[in-house]
Amino acid sequence: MVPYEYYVALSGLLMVLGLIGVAVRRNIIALLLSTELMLNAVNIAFVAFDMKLADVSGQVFVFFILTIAAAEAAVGLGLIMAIYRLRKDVDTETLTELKN
Amino acid sequence: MEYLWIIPFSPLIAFIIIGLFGYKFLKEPLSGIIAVIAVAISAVVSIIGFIKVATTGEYYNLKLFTWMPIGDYEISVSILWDPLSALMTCVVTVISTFIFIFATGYMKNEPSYPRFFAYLSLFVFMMLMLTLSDNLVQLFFGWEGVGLASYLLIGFYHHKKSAADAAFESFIVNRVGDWLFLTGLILAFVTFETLDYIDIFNKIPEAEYWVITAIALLLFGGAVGKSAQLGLHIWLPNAMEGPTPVSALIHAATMVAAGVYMVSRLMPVFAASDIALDVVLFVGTASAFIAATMGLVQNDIKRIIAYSTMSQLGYMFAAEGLGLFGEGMFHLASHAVFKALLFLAAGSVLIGIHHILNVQQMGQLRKYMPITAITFLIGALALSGIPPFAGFFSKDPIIEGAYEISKFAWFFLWLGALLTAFYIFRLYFLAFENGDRLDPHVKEHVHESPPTMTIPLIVLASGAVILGFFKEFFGNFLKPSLEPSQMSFLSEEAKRIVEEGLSRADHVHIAEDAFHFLVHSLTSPIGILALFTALIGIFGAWVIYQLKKIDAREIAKTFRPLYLLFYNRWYFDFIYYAAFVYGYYKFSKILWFIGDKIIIDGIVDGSAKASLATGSGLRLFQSGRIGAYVTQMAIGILIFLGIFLLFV
Repeated sequence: MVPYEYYVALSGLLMVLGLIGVAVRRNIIALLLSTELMLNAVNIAFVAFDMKLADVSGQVFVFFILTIAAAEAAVGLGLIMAIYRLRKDVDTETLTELKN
Repeated sequence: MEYLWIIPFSPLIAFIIIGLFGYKFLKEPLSGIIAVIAVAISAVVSIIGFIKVATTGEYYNLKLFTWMPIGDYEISVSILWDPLSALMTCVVTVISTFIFIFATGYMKNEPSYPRFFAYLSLFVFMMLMLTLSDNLVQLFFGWEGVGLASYLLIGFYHHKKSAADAAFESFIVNRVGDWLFLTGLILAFVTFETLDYIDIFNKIPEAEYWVITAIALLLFGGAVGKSAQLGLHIWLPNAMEGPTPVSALIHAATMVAAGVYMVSRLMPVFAASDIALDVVLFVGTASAFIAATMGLVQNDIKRIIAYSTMSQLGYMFAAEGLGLFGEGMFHLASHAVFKALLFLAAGSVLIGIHHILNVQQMGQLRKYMPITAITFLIGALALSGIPPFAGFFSKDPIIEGAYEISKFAWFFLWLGALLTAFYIFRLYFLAFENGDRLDPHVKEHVHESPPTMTIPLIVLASGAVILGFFKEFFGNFLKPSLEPSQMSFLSEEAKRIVEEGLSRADHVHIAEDAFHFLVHSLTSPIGILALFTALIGIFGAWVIYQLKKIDAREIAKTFRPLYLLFYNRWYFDFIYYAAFVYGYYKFSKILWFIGDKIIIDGIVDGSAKASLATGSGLRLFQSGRIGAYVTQMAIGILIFLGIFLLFV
């Protein structure tokens, strides 16, 4: 039996990776991937604490999060497609219409 | 006695009907007729009630409905029907009826005819609420209501700047008095825990002397404002900007007498404090004398009569200060008759000569307007205190009583009587007799007024002739309200205090019967002196303005400082203008600069500027780069998590 601290550590690691990915990558698709990574880090943390506390509600949450993540990915990809058609470019460095 | 509720509400209904339908449906004659009928109903009902109370001598306290409860005490709208309020109500409604009839003639072809009668009916309703009240709150309601009606009617010709200014002035000056009155009312409630007159009277023995003095003086402050006594009198002469029936009804016969009535109504409170009585006496005497001097040199026909009103109100207050409450109320009633008569006659003159107010531009009007001239003469004789007329029987007892009680007050009241006779006959000779100064263009159109105007004059003139002979009747009639030993609603202890307070007048013996009083006046030195004074005043006016043996201008030149003092109304208006109008203007400017410009604008503009500055500062963080946002967010989360972990 793996102690739950390991899972939490893995979750934290994935979270930080995702965060760094969002912060440093420029391609929107990479950003979307990093966001999914963070969501899954949260899922792991849920399941890990769920195991520790011997409760099932954490796992229920995970199902919901997975569903929403799928929907969100679909919407996100759609938006990216729209942006790409508009600008022929998905680089966030140039996507600064909301600046100032 | 249930039917008494008709008295105040009949004019109110007229006000509502005329106010709602006056311009659209009733128009000129009908709205006036409705107002006259409504007030005539009140007059008839109050006379029925008067007869009832005169035969039984009892008092009736009808609670119509509860107005508002305050803790255990309920303020009710009610009618206290005792001799005092019955007399005042009859004076108000009967005089109102004649003035309303006069006004239907006076206001002919006036575009705002329905509005005028709506306001007049409102005034009568408010005045009756005031007189019929059995508690201080309802009195105050009426008190403010008549002030409002007075404001509306002074400013009736509101397109004229002088009328609008006069209305403002009267309203603002009255606010000072009303503020004092309200303070007195609150102090009375705190002290007695009730505002019903009868309960207050019976609780007087429990209260401390200085508290009662303070209450009486504060309430008297309200009376000073409403009755235009010295200090707060400046509005009354300017109030003559209103139509003449208004001057006659509100600013001569009824509203300005409300202060006198209030002091009589609360007689036990005033009698419980000799300081309060002395103040009433002093203010009344000073007003009586000073107003008479001001009236000497004015040239505006209505202002002369207005100063005379102020002076006569001073006599009433002086009578109350002397403890002669019955005499004061009798003078109120007879003054209401002959002063309304004088004003209406003046109004009739103004209609005849097309609103020339300056008496120096009149003359020989008796030839053209005989009825007006004769009725005015009767009013003038009554005002001067010449025997068979009402003024003699009501004013001379005050002067003679003053001689017995306070020589100082007597001297000024006596001197005031001399001036009164002089200025009113100066007005009479200048306007109705004497040389021919009328504009020839105006002269062609001068005519006697229509019967709607002359009949009220004749009725009031007959009143001014015969009313004096009812002196004994009125004296006895008022006793259940003003004579402590006969006041059935007072407890023994309260009676004792009131009797003690009125003891200053104990040694005064004024013949109650009119005939005996006349004989007494003609035989006792002080009575003969008073009579001679009035005759000398009339004779002086006759010599100067009719025979022109002495030139008035020469007298003015010889006594130039005095003339200027009187002509400029003792500089009251100038001082008030400098101190209050100009001072207030300066004060407002300072407040405008510090309060408005610096503090309020500082806060408002400052908050706008602050959000502008923070906005432009924070705008720099809005780079539009997702990476930067994520970094900022992550840093923020870390900081909050760090705080959470470290301190919680």
